[in-house]
This record gives sequence, structure tokens and C-alpha cells, in this order.
Amino acid sequence: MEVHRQNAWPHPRMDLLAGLRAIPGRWVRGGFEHSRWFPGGSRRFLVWERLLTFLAGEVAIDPWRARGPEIAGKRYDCDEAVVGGGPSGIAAANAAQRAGASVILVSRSQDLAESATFFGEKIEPLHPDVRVLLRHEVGGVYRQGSVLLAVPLDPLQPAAVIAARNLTLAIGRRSIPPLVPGHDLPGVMDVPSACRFATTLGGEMGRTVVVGTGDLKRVADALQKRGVTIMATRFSADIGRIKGRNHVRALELRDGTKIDCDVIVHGGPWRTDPALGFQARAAGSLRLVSHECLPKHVRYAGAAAHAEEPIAVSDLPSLRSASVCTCMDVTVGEILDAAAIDGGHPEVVKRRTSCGMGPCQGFPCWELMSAVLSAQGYAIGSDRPSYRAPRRSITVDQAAGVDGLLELDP
Amino acid sequence: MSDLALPGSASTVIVGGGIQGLSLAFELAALGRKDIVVIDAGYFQGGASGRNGTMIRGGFMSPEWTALFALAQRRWIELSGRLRRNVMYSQRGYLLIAERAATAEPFDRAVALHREHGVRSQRISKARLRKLAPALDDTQVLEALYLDDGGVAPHHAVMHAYLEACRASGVAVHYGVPVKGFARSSAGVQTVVTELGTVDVDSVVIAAGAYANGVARLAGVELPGFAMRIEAMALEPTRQIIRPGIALLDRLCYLSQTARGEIVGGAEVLERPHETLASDLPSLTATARAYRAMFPCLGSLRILRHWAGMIHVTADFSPLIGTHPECPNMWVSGGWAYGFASAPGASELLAKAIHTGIIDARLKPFGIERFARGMLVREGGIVLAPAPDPTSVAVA
Repeated sequence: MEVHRQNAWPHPRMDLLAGLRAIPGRWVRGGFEHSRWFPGGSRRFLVWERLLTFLAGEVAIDPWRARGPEIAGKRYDCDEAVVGGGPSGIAAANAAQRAGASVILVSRSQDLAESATFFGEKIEPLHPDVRVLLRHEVGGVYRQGSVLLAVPLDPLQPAAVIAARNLTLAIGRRSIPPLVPGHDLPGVMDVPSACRFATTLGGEMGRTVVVGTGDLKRVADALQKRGVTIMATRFSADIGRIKGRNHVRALELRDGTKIDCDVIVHGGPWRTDPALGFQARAAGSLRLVSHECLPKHVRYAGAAAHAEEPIAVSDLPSLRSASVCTCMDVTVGEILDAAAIDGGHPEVVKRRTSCGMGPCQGFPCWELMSAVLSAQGYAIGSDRPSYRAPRRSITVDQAAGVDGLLELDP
Repeated sequence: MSDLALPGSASTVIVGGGIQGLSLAFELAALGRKDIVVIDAGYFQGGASGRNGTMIRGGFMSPEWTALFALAQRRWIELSGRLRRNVMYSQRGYLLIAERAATAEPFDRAVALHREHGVRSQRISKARLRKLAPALDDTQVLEALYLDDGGVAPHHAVMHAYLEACRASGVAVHYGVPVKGFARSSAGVQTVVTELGTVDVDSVVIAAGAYANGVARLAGVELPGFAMRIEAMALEPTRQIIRPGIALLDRLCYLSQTARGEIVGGAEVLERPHETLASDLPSLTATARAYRAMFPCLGSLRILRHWAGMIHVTADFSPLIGTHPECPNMWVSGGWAYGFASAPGASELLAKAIHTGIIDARLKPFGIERFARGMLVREGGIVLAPAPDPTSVAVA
């Protein structure tokens, strides 16, 4: 495996920026941009800011780069749009197709029901008349769920606007990483990623521990069948910390036991990514709030409809160094400090810390953030900041290609 | 986020804790006024002050706007010192780009106007433009006007600085407290009614942004203007590629790059007023089209997120500042489309007006009565969808 891009300078093989990791985290809490040594409005600030932008930016782009090819977008109108190519997405698409509807199914994967196939489940074939967009991500849902933006993973392929009468979200659930120090180390991954690595790397994946909730043995057995060395399975609630510096070296349990390993696969707690459902029902002028019920023409199917599993948070003070948002480097400690100043309002904490403002746009980090705030006693329930589309799914050129394909909202 | 309880009486209650409300409270406190209360129905930074493009300039095309914003521009430069907190104002310059002759035509007059008000600006050559904004495809640019002192300031830094400075000067600031009503006599508002209790007041200020009309109606008066949705988007972070703030006047598009590398901006689409914070696809794609046309190198970057905010706009798209003719102790700071940039200057003048009763000449053109008198303020150098025909817009 080769990493093509990372925040490295001057080169990934000789990265001088890595030296910055020697600076203790507590010195730069909340970002070092606010320093009083470099007040806004001064010349000093301009130099300082340039340095910050340099450090923050992952990529350098050439300002003289020529305009890329035009990527004319597509528009599809259908009766039923199904998001998710797993067994329940296929079932929903087939049922609608049999009932005489025109159906479009959108899936991120190259093959339908990738995960289910990995676990040896029997898959119902997809009705041949269903139009399928594979390797497409639904970046956002607009107009109460009647318009979808589907974007191919290949940035040179056209994006699609889908206008649908009905929308089924068969997006399954995703595993939330364990809220312990070290969960952001390379080598910690969720089950679908582990499945992909196991398929290609097999025994070379390294010593693996499966953590999570529910039937961990099923995950362990499926990985073992591909030659992966399984060291142990443990419930999330029993984990103390994940040890390692540049990558995972060991799992430490709350009772002090240490299990040496190279990979930690987390399978639970399982939660549905709320973004698309939120966008389908969010309304409000003072604040974008998600109503309890989805609009009549939108529904969850399969595992996505299941209740969310609780996130184990024990002994908050010992978790202060644990990461909550890995994109923006926000820790449990920073969330607690921000809430102590501003109160526990999720939108306010988000703005104070930038938690969830990176490429993942809030999932799974706002699940962790709200678990931390709830554990600290803020009564926020299932309250989250608003999920803003299109969540880094679409390029400027792709978006320009769909301009004009959707009429203005009357 | 709230100071614990509302006082039973206050000299001034400011309805709206956005940048206008907070900066006004700070300026009033700086004049020595005591017992100032700011209440806001939403959450801190939840309104347009936390959703705008953060671009700041002192120069416009009309003398009225330029006089007001030139003051604000000077105040921005000193603001970190004045608030004793870093507002991160980055004086990177501001480019106005014209692609049509009609748009470029007033540039010369604008430069003279700016000079008159102490704002540094100049028409620049293509060579200078290429140096200032290498990412811009200059083959489509007819003329560029450069404002040396313009720039950007991130809202989180500015808003926190104002909030903390307000609290440090004794202003009580409450979020999540909607106004329920006003008790008033012919002399004006006597009491502000909220869920947390009532406050007897000497004067009230409506700085409620998009919600201004509804708040004024609680006092039985109408305000000109209406709420309008505006949308913006952020691109994934890159190392610095866009230095100045840039407004593409002919495309109703603006953008800048934040200190953490995200390119933030938007293009306006012509649409009916919407009272919602839900974003929609056409503005996203229109912005992408404008970027692709003018900044070819941005084409392969991914859009990180896209959001909507709401502002209060009047029929001439100019601010609305002054007392209400039917309610003498009710002041308004509204109609802000460029409110973020204006706040340090506009609030200083409004605070003086409220405290002394003397209205500065720079505020007078923006009075509420201008619509009744037909004295509209037309500003040609702003990036906003053209004003709807005032006669067709219900003043609601």
C-alpha cells in the first residue's frame, strides 16, 4: 500500500512537518491561531496566517493549472430512489420495481452487497430493470428528500441530480470507534475496511483484535477464514486505551491486561449515519432542526432503521487526551473545556472547537462529541449540529456540470 | 451560555446577539452606559454572523456606503487592540473584478470617492492582478479595482472577542431567550417581555437580522424589508492560493481563503425570499460554475460543505439604521447584507446616536423613513442578486 497524499513537507519520504508533533498538545489547545503575539490587523499577523495556512493545507495546488475538462452532469427522474446496495437496499428496490415504479439504486461499492457477501449471506438478485449507479455516493439530500445529489467516486465522471417521488435510505449502520486514547492511530479500522484489507492482504494484515458490541465472533471468524491472525475479541466497554506511537502496538483493557496487536477492528457500537435523514427533514429559520418523523415519502430500511447503540463513556477525566474529531484534531478535553465556557449546546461547541468540520462533516465524530457532552451532564439527547451537504463528495468541476439541471425551488 | 437571570430593568435592551448587537453593546458600554442587556432567541453565532463570508472592505460605489464602511475599515485594523482579544483581521487586500464595461465604468469615480474617505484603492494592471491573484483567469477580466486595506476576519475569532469584551465591560448577554412581546405607551417601549421575565427599559434596539420584522411587529410597528436566504460553501483546505478577498461583480460571486486553507464563498441565484436555513442545490452549482469559469485551478477541489444563512434586506439592499418613526425609543440596526464588515464602524456611530441623541451624518441616509420619502440609497458595487422591484415586495 502506498500513501499518495498526506500533510507532509517537503516530501512524504522526508517530512519536516512531522517535527511539529513534538509540541505538547496542551500548548496548542483550540488551535494556535488565536495567539496574542500575532494580533489581527498587524503585518505580523499576515506572516503568521500564511504559516498557519501552510500547515493546515493538505495539498498545494498550482494556481496556473489549466481548466479541467467539462464534466456535463446527468439528471434522472424516478418514482423511487434507494440509497445503499446491501441486501435491504436490493430488497427495497426490487419491491418497488415489482410494484411498477421506476427505480434508481445508488451504491458506494463496486459490487452490490459487498459486506453481506463477505460474511457468506445469500443475496437476492437485483431486478434487471432497476437503474444502478455503482461507485456513487449520495452527497446530499435536498427539498425534504425529493432531490438527491449522487456523485461518482471517480472525480472525472459526471455527477447526477436525482429527482425522486420516494426515497429509501438503506444505508446500513456504521461502527463508531471506541472512545479511548489511541483510537485514531493507524491500524484502527471498522469492519468493512477490515473486510477489504482481509480480502487483499489476508495473513499479512497483522495480529488483529476485534472489539465492539454484539456478535464479535462472527466478524473474527470471517476474518480468520481469510487468513487473518485473530488475537482476541473484546467488548468496547472493557477497553482502556490503544497503545502505540505511529501505529497500533497493543490494546490495553480496563483491568490492565495488555494484548499486543497491529490491527484493531471495531464492530460496534453501531449507528446509522444521520446526515441524509437529517437533510430530508431538517427545517427552521433560527436553527436547522430535524423533526422526529421523516416526511411520508422518505423511509429507512434494513439496519439503518434500527435504534442507535449506546457509546460507552467511562471515567471522563481519564479520557481527556482521547481524540473526538480526528480531521480537526479535537480531543475530549477540548470539548469539555469549550462546554465549560460556552455551555453544552452542540452547535456552539462545534463552532468553538471546529469538531466535525473536516472532510467527514460530523459522522462519526458528533456521535462521540454528544456522548462526551451527555456523560458530562449536558442534557442534549440526540441533538447534533446540522449536517451540511455535500460532505466533500463532489468536485467544483462536477458540481458546475450539474448547474441548470435542477430548476429553482418555486 | 446565558448569564443567569434577566435584570428587572435596563437602560438598553438589544434584541439580537449577532455581531451588530454585540458590537453595539460594547460601544455603548465604552461610552459609559450601564445596565445593557443583549438577548437572542437563537444560539451564539447561529445567525448570519456565524454564516457569512467574513470579507471586509471600506470602499463601495456610493458615497453613502463608502462613508460608513470607511470608518468600519479603520476600526477593523485597530479592533484586536481595542477588544484586547485577537480578532484575526487579516489585511490581505480586496479585489473587485469587472468583466463588463458597464461594471468597470464607475471604477474611476470610485477611486476618487475612496480617496475622499481615506480608503486606499486603485485600478490595477493585468500584470499586478496576475501577481495578486494568480489563480484568477484574467483573460475574462476587463478591469480590477484593488482595495489595499480590505481583508478577512474569521467569525469565530471576531464573535468570541466581542462576546468576551462585552461581558468584561458588564454587558449581560443571553442566548436562547426569545422576545415574547413589548409593553408600550405612546412614548415608546416601556417593557420587554421574555420567557425569563420582563425588563423595564429606557430604549430598545432591534438588531435581530433576518428576524427584525417579526420582532418589530411585537411592538406593533412595521419595518421595511424582508428575510432572505443566502448560501455559501467551503472547499477542502489547500495551502494558500487565494490571497485577497475577491468579488466577481458580474457573477454575483465572492470568495476568500481562510487561515486554515478552506476557500469560502458563494454566488447568488435569483430566487424568491425563503425563510429557511436549509440549503439548496442551485446555489451550490451556480457557485461551482462561477469558480470553474474564473478560477480553473479550483476545479478539481472537493466541496467540503454548503450552508445557508438569512439576512434582512430592504428594497434598496442598503442598511436600515435609526429610530422608528412610530416608536421613538426603538432603534433599529438592520437591512444588513454586508453587516459583518460594517459592524465596528456602524455600531460606534449608532451607540453615539443612542447615547447622545445626535445622529451622525454618515447614518442619516440609512434612516427608516427613506422609503416613505422615496430617498433610496442605491449601491452598485455589491454582490447580491439585483433588488426585487420594491413595489412588488410586500414590506413584511
